[in-house]
Amino acid sequence: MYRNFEEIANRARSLGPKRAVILFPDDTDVMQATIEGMKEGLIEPVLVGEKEHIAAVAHQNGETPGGMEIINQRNPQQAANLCLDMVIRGEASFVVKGNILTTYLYRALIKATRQLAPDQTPCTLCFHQAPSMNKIFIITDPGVNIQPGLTTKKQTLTNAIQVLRSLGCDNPRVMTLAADHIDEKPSIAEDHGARLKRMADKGLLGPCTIAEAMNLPDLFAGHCIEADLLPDIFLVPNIEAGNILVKTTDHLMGGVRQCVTVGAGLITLTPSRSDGYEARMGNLALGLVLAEACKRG
Amino acid sequence: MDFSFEEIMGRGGQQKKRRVVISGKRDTNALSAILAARDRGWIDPVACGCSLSGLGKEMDVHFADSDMLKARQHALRLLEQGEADALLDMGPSNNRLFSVIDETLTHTKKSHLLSYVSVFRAPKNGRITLLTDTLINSKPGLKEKIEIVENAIRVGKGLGISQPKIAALGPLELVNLSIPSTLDAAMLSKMSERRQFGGAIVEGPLAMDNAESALAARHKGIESPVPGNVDIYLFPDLESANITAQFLGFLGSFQLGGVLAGTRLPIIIRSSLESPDSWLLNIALGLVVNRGI
Repeated sequence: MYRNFEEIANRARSLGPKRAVILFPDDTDVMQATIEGMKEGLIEPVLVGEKEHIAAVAHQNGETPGGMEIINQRNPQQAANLCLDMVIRGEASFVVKGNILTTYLYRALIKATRQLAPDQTPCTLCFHQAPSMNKIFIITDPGVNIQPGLTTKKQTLTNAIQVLRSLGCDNPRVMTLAADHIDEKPSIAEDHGARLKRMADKGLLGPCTIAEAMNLPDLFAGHCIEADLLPDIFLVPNIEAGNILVKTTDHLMGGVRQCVTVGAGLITLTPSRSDGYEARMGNLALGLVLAEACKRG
Repeated sequence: MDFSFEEIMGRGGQQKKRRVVISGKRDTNALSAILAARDRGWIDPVACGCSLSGLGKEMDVHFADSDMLKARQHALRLLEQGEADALLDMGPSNNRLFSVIDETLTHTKKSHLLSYVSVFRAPKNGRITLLTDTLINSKPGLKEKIEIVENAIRVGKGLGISQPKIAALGPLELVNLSIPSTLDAAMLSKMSERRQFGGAIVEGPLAMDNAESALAARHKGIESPVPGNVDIYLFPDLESANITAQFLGFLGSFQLGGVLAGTRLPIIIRSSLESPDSWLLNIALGLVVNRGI
């Protein structure tokens, strides 16, 4: 398993180039990362969106518009669907979200997942590197499912476990996060956590170890824990907790975050719209490594 | 970045010694903080209840035959009658404790519903920053959130933040009808525009990245003095607040302090979010926040 994003970037350099389809790259940071990714031999980009816009932004960034393949589709939903279709048909390895509302891409991925693997549900996996942790860990799902029920959480965990296993983490350590609350009655998050642990113990989620503790005060319970024993996957109760938590981890704790959204083995890179050029380069590297790993898996 | 007892106490200026009544289950860490605060001349402790009867050498013990519930009731009455200036409950800080507080304190001694405010130092600017409600109200609606905001404003004022900037957090910066917290945040934001929170400014909904960076906020068309300058983070619910505080305290290695808000008299507790050696800090926070009384 990779311990930091540098290891992922190194691995990506040995795998490229792969065909990547970039959805609405009409933004300077997105375009710059696309051009650099191409120059560094990571990707062979196919650009989807409004052709004139894309050509203009490419030109601003010093690229001749003829140097890259552009597919003209100005309707955001149709463009997102087209990108997923290309990955399904094997014409590209993964999708990169550009200057577009993530909802369009989520919708396209949900539709594709329903067709290819009806028992799965897509979820966003945020890969984190934080100063105090000597390994990469995942927080899920801060993106797709607003208030997931038990079945969706099971599908989310199964998905996350599968992705981590494909990256070489054979037996991911999982924590189902909940508030350390003051009621004696278990919260919904704790009830789901206990049920998921029972499912995992029966082997229903794939090889993994779910921690008994559902909050960090209990996990640490008065002692320090070595990084290796910390969870690889944190399952959050809902989108509100997840979204705030992933952004806290990079903005307040000084970490680095890379987001991907995966369903039915289809990889879509879903960086924040506010992510700059460097974050987007790191995101491309993760996409390459995941596309290769999931293909092999 | 950590802060010290001295620094927090320094914010309160010269203080008179407080009579503090102690209740709850005996806790070694709490006890050593109480003795340290006494030795510094900040407090004059008195214990309450049979679980603390062994403390006779260190301080007076009242109601030495009472069980924990009765001792807590006695302690709260001493507070209510002005026999004590503050209460410190060694725990456990659970629903039973908060119910006793709710039931025993009369209306005049309670300003609001009880809520909890976690305190840490923001890494970006070193400023004391508040997170709420990290412990008590699990699914606050708009009515509760108004009180939670008012409680936090009061705690902020006690810590010297006179016109706090408050980020009402959500998973995104747009109002989304499927996500009720975004509606609450928008409503609080409008209330603040109409100065219903005095000089405090509430902006929301804000995602954490917009709250943290004025640039990211502007990128999304949000023109407000709050992004990049947040004093108080208001969370959608307990899960999001408590889990975020867990990460900051346990994986981010920030020192967290905590203040019970909503009472007019200091009630000092420690939640599991703070490390056991944060008792002294929580004592300081409790006394300083309520120093005007």
